[in-house]
Amino acid sequence: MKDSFDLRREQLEKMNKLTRLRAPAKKKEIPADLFTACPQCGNYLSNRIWYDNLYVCPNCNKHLRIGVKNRLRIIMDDGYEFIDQPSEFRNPIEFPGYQEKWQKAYENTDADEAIVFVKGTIEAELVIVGVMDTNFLMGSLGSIVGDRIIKALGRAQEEQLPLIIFTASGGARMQEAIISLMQMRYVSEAVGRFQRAGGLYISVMTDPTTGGVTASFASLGNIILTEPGTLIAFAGPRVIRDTIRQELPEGFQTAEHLVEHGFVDRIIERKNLKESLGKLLRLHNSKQNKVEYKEEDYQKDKFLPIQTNQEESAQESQELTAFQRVKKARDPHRICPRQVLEFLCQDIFELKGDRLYADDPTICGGLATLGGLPITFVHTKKGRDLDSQMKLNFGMPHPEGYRKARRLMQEAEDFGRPILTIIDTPGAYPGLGSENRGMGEALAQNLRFMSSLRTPTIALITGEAGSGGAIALACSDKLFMLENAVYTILSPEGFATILWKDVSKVEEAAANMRLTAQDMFELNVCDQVFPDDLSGLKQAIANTFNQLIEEKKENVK
Amino acid sequence: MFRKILIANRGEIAVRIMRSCREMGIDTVMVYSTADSNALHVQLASEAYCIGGPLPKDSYLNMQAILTVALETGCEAIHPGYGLLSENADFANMVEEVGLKFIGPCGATIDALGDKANARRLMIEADVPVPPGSDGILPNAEVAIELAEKAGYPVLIKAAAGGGGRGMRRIDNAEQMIAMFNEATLEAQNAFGDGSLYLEKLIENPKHIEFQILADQQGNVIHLGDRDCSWQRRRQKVIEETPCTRLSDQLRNEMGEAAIRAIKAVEYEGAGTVEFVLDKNNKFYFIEVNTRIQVEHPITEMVTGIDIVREQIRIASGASLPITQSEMQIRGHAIECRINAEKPSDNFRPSPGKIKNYIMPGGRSVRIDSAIYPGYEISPYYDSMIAKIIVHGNNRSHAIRRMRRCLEELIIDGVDTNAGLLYVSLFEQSMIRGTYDTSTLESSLDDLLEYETIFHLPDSAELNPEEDNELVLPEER
Ligand SMILES: [Zn+2]
Repeated sequence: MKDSFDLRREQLEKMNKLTRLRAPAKKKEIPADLFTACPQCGNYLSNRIWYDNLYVCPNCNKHLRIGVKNRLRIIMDDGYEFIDQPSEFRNPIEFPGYQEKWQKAYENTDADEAIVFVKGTIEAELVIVGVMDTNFLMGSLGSIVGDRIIKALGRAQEEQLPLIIFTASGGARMQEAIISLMQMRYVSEAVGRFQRAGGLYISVMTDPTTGGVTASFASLGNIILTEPGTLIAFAGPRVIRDTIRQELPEGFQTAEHLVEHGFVDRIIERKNLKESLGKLLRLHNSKQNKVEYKEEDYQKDKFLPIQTNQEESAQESQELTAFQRVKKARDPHRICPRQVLEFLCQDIFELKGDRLYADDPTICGGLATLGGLPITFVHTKKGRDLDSQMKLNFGMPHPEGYRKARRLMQEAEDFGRPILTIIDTPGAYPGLGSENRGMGEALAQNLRFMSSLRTPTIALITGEAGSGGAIALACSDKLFMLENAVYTILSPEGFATILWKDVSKVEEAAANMRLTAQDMFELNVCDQVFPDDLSGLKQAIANTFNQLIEEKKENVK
Repeated sequence: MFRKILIANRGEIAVRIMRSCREMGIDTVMVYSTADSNALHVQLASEAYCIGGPLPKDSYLNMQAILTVALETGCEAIHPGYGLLSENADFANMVEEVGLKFIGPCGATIDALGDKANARRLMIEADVPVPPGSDGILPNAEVAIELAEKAGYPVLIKAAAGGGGRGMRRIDNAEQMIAMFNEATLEAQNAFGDGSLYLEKLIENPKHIEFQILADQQGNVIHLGDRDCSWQRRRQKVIEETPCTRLSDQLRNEMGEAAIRAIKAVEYEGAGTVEFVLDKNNKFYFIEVNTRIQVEHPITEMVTGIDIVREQIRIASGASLPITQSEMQIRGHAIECRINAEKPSDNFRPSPGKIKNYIMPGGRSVRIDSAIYPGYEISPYYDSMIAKIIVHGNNRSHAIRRMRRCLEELIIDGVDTNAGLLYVSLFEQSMIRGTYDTSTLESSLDDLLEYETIFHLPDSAELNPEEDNELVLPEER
């Protein structure tokens, strides 16, 4: 068959020469520099498409490195101004050949040093923004870079503006040797001064953030964001490989890896970065100082996450035994803390990691608004199906979860935000890792820390609140419970076993150990009890926070 | 007119496009993957270039390689066919950027119609009926219930950010809405990092009706009638016909006009298809616009006499439409059967392999669009469709009986095909009556697969030979 095709092609070619009327088409010039290949998947795209896609590969989502010009285009509203003094070359250790190198970078880059600062608005919120450019001597931390950061922090403090830095750096500037190392100390000191004065500093780590920059201002943000796939490291992969001669696991030192290990708050896609920063700045800049639900917020109460026949449930509720309530509290389909949070709050922005070891997904925390008032929230998570329950360790947090909660509450205290914790956990996780990482210490720290907070705190128990793992999130000014929530020193099963060596006496244990919301109210452990359908909760939370805010104001006076 | 066109596709549609080009005196350049060196579109080509490995991403989706070949060989335009790069706005933009013509609408139009929410908004503005639902994000369950009651249950709530069914719920009443709204929000939040939901009426077991559109650069838009593509399995069309028996002339006109409004809502040029669903009460709703040539376009060509690929090329070169809407005439009835290399009784497992023997039906008003030949090895890398049989008849029963006759003649040895299933499908009651909907094939599949036991021959009353009047063939254009 193939031969027949070939023969026909030959015949046609001959015929074509005789019959062709029009001249054959001419070859066209291929425009140069029209395409750029994606460094990750090899996808060729025209440069205009890269520009339109914010230099993110539509095929594999690789976030390409971008310079100052594009970064500012993506992040800032129109009409920002550059605020640095013009850069002038200095050679602090008289390093040979430095000037030529610097001059070349100066001429060939959008920026006049490895970092530039602008003042302008992001989604209409006024802010000072620094952007590093790896095209300028690999974004290295030279003395001009250090000076600019310190000056920008000073100006932000003076004008009471938040400061954002997009980091991108190979680390220290070798040509400035020890002077570059000193910059790490100077800028860290300046960040500390700015933060102690109440300034908000957001660090956005972009590809690559390594070496002395990671080990100074990049890691010191009140909030640390990054883009997908960003390389974040102290010692770069090549250094590690050369030093310890070990192959590194896949995904090591990526943004995703860092989030898992608790050092970054969130990975944000480049296309969403501006919106996220706008949201954070709005939360930070809000002048509102009390909870102000609108009429329509209350109207939504008709559609609570769980509907019950009020009369029936009220009657039924009277008759439940303590152990029946335990079972209700443990029902995986029961209303969960996240649902309550979404019922009460808006603008939820989760923040992750303990900055020490890991991010514990079982304890969730972040920023939100409650009737317009910015707050910090912390809640536990259990999961409804086996899959998510396994991932969430059946609602039992590790020490890193409590340390994350403490870190976020410290930020809340520093910025004067009220704190809401919502709790449903069988208890802290008993296990090898937990003990090795000091579960007892983590809980103790939280108890002392939460009890001494000056900012108003409310804790709400929606289901189970088991022992130390629960109280470490519940040392609040006020404690609320849902009517079928329980608060225990240990599980009724454990109680029966320890006291009577007989787990079958669990119902008796539940009845005698006093664990229901009603019991807690009578024992003065809890301040108020709400029906499971949350009716009245919104109003009570609003009033209580407002009252606490007033009281604390009085105390300060 | 163009002198040379690159065809960025493979299989039967590449051959189909080349045929029109040859008839128009246009040279063609084919591209192919290493797995396709023996494919018919390569064997029939006067010029063909291998551009990469068997995986589509290495060859038929390799934009840079395709553009390089097009420029190197002096092509003036690129025809993308269907599938592959045909609805890729980036590709359309890049073709224009290198100074070639993309045969189809521009990238911005592909994007505007490809974004579901945006297309829905455009259609509402253009007064094209869309399935009742929310115009934006649902703020809470209360609003959702209000809208659902207005649209009528059942409804779907879907994740605005999502896809793949996650965060999607079928809701049959207000109680369910209350129970499921927050759960769906939560699921969407977890899956996509965005809990916003929107709502759309669920149209149960509709007919899938689409309108073929042609639009020229001068702003003229006409439709070439409808196609009923309801005989589907898992959203894959299997048998298509035109015109649809369910449409009265009035309804067809209404839908055709809506389709034209849909196309005029954007800056459109070339061929396109506006898809609707038609519910039990003959109410129709816009689903989407396909901005490319469709697999089933030949049935429209059969009843209108218009070569749609030829028109695509003419329009791309700047020519205006050959006829006006009032000159457009539908004559007779056409049916297409898609022959796939697959084994229906084994859950439609693809059946790649070597074609040993092959006899295609012929005779009057029969058209075969295929890319196989004896000795051809069907590759496991690509779509399993190997041929389309298209027949024309004076009327519907005539066309059905002609298609049965064709399938009786068809022989393909070497691989399993769905030809037997297609054949018995043509005896299925609702197929004979034309009342089938998008659920019919799947629900009657088990019966159809038991050929021998249920093989149901129709009453002569149902296919009336009296109707067979002398056929007036449409004129060739
Ligand atoms: Zn890529």
